[in-house]
Amino acid sequence: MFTYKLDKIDQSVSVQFNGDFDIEVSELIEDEIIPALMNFACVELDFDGVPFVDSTGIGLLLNLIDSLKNNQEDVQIKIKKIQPMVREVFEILQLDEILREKVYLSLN
Amino acid sequence: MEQTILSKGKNVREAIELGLDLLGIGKEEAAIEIIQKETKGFLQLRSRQAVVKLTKIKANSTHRESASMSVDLAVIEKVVDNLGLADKKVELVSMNAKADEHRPDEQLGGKVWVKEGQIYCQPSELHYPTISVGNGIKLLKNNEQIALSTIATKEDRFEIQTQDDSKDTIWNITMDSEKLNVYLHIEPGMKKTSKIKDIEPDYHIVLEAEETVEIINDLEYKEILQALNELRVIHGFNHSEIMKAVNTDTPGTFTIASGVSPKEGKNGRIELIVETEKKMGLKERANGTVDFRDIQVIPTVQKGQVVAKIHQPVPGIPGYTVTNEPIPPKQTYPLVVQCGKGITFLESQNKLVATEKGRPFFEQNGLMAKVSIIEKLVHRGEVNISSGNIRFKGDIDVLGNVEDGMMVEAEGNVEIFKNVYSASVSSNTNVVIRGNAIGSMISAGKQNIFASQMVYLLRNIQEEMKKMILTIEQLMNLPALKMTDHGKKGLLPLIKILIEKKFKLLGTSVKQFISLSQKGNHLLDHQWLALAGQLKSCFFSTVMNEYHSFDSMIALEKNLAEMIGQYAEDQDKDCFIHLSYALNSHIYSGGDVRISGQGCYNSKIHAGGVVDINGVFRGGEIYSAQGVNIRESGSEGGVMNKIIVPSDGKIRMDLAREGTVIQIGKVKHTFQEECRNINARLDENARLVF
Repeated sequence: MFTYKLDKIDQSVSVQFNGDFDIEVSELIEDEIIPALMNFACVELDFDGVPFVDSTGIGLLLNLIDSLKNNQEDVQIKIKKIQPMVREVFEILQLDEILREKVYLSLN
Repeated sequence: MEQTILSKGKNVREAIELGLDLLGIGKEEAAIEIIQKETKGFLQLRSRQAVVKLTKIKANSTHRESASMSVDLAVIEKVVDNLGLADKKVELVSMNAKADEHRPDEQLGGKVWVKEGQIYCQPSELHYPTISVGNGIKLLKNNEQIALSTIATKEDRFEIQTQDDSKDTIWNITMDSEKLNVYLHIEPGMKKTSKIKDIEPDYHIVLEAEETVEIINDLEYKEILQALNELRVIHGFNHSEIMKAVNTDTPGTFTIASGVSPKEGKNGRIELIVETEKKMGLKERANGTVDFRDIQVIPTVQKGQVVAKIHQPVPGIPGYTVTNEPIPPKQTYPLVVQCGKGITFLESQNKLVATEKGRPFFEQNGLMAKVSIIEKLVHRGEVNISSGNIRFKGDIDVLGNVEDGMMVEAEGNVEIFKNVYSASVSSNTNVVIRGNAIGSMISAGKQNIFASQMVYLLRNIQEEMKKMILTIEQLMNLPALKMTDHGKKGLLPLIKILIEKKFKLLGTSVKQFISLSQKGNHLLDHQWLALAGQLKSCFFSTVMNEYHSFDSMIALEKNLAEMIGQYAEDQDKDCFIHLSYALNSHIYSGGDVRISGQGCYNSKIHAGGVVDINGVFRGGEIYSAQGVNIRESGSEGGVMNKIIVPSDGKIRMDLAREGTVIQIGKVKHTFQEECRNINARLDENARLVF
């Protein structure tokens, strides 16, 4: 079962995802998470608890990032603690933009 | 007890006689051994007496001796034994080398000889005979093998061994993979026997063996039949070949059984009853002139005329293997006929009938045939603002001029009876302009500007798509990627992500391809439009469809590759452009270009075939894939004239003036002064020759 946890500190927010990031979570992301993350200067996405993704899930993630950026252009988005297996998927898809150096930093 | 004495004499005979006298016995009762033969010295100086050793033996001995030879009993026995072994593979001959006293000593002194497989020798005081060993012989001297040659003395014991050889008949039976033929391969056996040749006495002899080879083919008819039976061959025996194999004495392969190969049938085919090919080109009259009005003969059909007959496939006749299994012939397929415009298929009669009047058009690709009637549009008058541009899927005849900025486009032939002024004329096949083309664009062939651009894009798309398929395959093997959405959405979400990020270029290429196909839809084949639709569904659909599976993507990619291949083959070689005079014009033809009138001024010509200019070529550029013929090129003023052909092309000019530049392959030449009768090409060393 997919769950998430929100931590708000001033202008920044951090979300912890737990469970598979796949087609099942579409509604949850679109209806709950995206609205909840709007209007923060800094957004941190923690993928530590995500062992599997599917292509719809990746689409949702891209959509999430686009939505936040469209809403507020200077928003800072960090993705951290991606599991190595999941990162492999991201790399083959060449999603370098959302895998900025911060992701690697947080991995180390 | 045996009594032995030594006896001396002037010669051996005398010594023996003296000895026998002393013992009081006959020659039969004594064993005689010659210890030393007499030698004749000079004035008694070196002479020696003969010495013999006589031993009295029992009178009942079976032993008989010749007059002056002492033969060991054991040796004789051995010789007798060996005679019994004569037919063994290795013939063993052995004896002590002894003198043959039947020959006079003087002749034999120092010589050696071979008689009936045995070596005899008679060494002399000053000369020992020598023996060399020839091929295939093993010589043992006192049980040691002699490699090359040796000296023979009386005490030596020689053994000669010869190598005999034999080979069995080898044969095998094989069947080809279709079970149509059974082959027998046989190598008859043989037996090789060697015998030592007799050699006359000589100081040096070479032992030689005489080889006899006997071919033995012991293959029997029933053995073959048994082998065939084991292979379950029951059909198509070839008895005469089997007999030949049994009797052959040379190695060979015989086809001893053969089946019946199937008789192939025929695929369905079309038989055209009317002429569809244009007869083009000018016909020469008897007096050497030509009539420009008879530039080509276009075949036409009337309504209701039978255009073609369709022949149904003829099935083949099955054959039989040697094991009596039937071999089916290749399947035959019917011809698929696509009836284009103006054609109806009369099924009961298997005939194609024209329902409209026009020019029959026929295309065949493998087992697909397309027949249609191309209509002809005759425009009586000028093409100008009041008539509008003319676009037509069939042929167009314009009886007047084509005026400023106007356009004439046809899938069939275009014929302009007067002139083209600053206008554009294009055809998928041929363009004939009886007048002049001034400041105009003339093009002929399917390889129009659209098509060539489309193919260029398609090459990119295909390449990128191949990579994308690889990426998808790679992703599907990753454990962290779930296929949970596959059932609902197929590859759609994945394709979307890939197009958006990794394969942006593919996305733009496909978009360009689609927009180009829309722009040029009246000029492009429906194949192109269909392909554009498929690409759109695959990459830019928002809902899942049939193209979002891995297999269908592979199929689509294959389709693209085929399309590219097809285009490369379609060379438009039959297209042509004929006009009488060109000025400031662009002329593009998939095939030949012929300018029959005054000439061509400041124009650019691109031809997939031959360019023929009957007049003057002054200013401009010509590219021809096959060759160029010009009567006169350049001007006295030295206007830039460029003529380009590929490395295997030829350029022929009756007169080339200063400033004419020719380029064959990569080799360029500029004419500095007038030259006549030029026939330029590249030689084997890629050098330009005239």
